[in-house]
Amino acid sequence: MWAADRRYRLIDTPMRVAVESSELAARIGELLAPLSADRPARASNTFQVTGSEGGYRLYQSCIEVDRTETGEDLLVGLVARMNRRAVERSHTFAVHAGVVSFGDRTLAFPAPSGGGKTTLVAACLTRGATYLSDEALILDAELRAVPYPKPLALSDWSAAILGVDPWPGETLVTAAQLGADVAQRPAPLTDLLIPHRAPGAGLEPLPRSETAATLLRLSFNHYRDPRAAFGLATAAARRVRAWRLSYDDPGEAARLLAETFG
Amino acid sequence: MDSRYRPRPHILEEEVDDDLVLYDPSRESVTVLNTTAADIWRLCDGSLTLDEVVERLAAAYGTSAEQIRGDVARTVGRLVEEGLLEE
Repeated sequence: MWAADRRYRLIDTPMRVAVESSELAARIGELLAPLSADRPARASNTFQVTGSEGGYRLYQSCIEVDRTETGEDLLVGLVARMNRRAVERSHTFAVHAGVVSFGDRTLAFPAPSGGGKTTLVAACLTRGATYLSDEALILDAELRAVPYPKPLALSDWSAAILGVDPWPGETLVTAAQLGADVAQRPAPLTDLLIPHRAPGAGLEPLPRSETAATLLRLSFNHYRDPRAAFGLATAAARRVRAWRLSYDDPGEAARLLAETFG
Repeated sequence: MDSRYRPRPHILEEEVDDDLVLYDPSRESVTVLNTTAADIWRLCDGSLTLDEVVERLAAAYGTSAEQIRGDVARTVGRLVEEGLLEE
């Protein structure tokens, strides 16, 4: 019945996605390839997609959770639900942030949802950066950023400025489509860039304590083990350089970052 | 100024460079204290009255207690308001 039945790992959660339509299975396979894994998933982390163009249904744990007319809309909903599930279940210290590497410098852009992380990350990928995540800085005990290379969901506006053919609503793209590589292993976090909307593009050093405060304020799971999260955030603050990244044009900001850190 | 203040028991603290980072897990709030505020925080350990804190700081900074009394009281007031210190 299934054209594809694949296993993935998002942060530390194994997931399974089964798809009836061969066309959609191919697209999902391409988008989620960097997250492929071989560990079995629990039923509660299983997603099933039935139907074909004109009428798709998405099931999570065998319960219908979405209906869409187009495959692209179905995909946006599927990736969002998988991401939400992964984030809810994560036990590794995680912070709302985009993460890319330029050579041996690994940069994180902490910002809340809707704060422009994805567009900035995508712009960096078109300037030679390696992709780690547009969603979460997953920081392990050795202060390394663990790759979480989910597909990037670009808004119409972001797609237009990046030269990607926009789909009405949101467009999912892979790092490869933007010409970038995906990090294959954790990378030591070196710089934390706090985005600040202002004319032009500029970098200004910040006190290191700003790193600890920002990581804790934007963490989505520090409450699981507050003492460990505080220890990790302050340890990162001592090692990582903190900057205010002022910009109004993500492309200009990416150019500045590529010149400074590339 | 006879009151004595101390950190609330659940507050976590770590020095990062010259700043002191305080974290209150119960309120999920982070506060960064500069050097001066960190000195006030450290002296508020429950053993000294606010007057004694002011005198210690004045001696350490080579100034008069009168000159810094208002600033110290305001800082302590803010730390109490933010749930970091208790009387």
